[in-house]
Amino acid sequence: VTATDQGLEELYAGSYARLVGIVGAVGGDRQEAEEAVQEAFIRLMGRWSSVSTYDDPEAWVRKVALGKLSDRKRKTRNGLRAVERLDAAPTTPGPDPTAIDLAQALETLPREQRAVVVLRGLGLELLAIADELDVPLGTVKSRLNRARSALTPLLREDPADV
Amino acid sequence: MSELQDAIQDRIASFTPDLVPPFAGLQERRRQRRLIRWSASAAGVAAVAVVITLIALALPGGTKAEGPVRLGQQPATLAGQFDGYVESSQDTWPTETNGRPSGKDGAALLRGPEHCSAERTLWLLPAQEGPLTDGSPRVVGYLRDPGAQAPNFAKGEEPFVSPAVLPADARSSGLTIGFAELWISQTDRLLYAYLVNSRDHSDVERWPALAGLCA
Repeated sequence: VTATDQGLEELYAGSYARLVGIVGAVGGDRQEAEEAVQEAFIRLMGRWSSVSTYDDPEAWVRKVALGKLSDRKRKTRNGLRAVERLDAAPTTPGPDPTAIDLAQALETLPREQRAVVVLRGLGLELLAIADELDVPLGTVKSRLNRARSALTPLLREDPADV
Repeated sequence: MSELQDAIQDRIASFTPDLVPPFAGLQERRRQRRLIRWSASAAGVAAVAVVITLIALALPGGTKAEGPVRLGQQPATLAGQFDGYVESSQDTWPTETNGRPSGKDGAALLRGPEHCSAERTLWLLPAQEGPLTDGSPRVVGYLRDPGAQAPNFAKGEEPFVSPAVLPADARSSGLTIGFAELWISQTDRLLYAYLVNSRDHSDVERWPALAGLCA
């Protein structure tokens, strides 16, 4: 194992699960999220020498994985039923029952809006979100506003916090 | 933290896996890809053709897919060879001869066509690298049909079985689709394949071999 492989492997081990969680939260399908993140890491293998010098290589992987997710959504309308069934259900407890309405509202948001909300929830600035999703800043703002409008009735507090 | 941020974190947590697949698996997938999938010429035309072998084996009427499928056109083209089938996934499948690696095959997973009332079935179709040689395929196709929608297209008397027991001589074929891994037993490979959760080798499904295709 070379030092290069080791650095890449450490990033993989340390960020894979987190990235799948984020990409899954955006796309709504964990199997698809795992595929997208794995594809992103495979792509990273050929670019590790340059990406490893970035401030945040994980953000690069996340951006590529979210892009892969979009590609897959476009190309494939039908999920892989067998794999979904074989794939173990998430073992992490679901949201508190009192938050079910909000969770459902997140689920029903258009995926593009959900991506903005999730990335904003991670603390990313709007410009960073625009870069990560490869869309103009104005698009990010409008998607966030639409998402807030949809979620506001369900919130007990100010949605502008996100 | 706001209420919405809590909900977002809950959602992220619900999609976060407990296990991380081995890094070596990614390396292998990349290696396979460099060998086959992305072997396009500088002009952007695939240099390696894929010829569907299953059809020569399976169809009673002798129907064959026409000509090679260019990898550069996949995944849409492979499904396009069959009326009504919809492609779900595609991957590469290392093959062996006498226990030694002998090549790589492609494999596509297609959803069955509605015109045969088989839209809830999955058809795993192998595709061989390079031209057909002797007409005897090294691999066969398999059908996932939990609803018994297409029993006439499966070999053997026992259709889809889940949970199934892996035979003692079963081993991984090298084909992985997400976290599912295709296992083959040398004793019954012409009749069945086994889809196994590659994380812990649990959740085994047995798929019957294909006797034909819904045309």
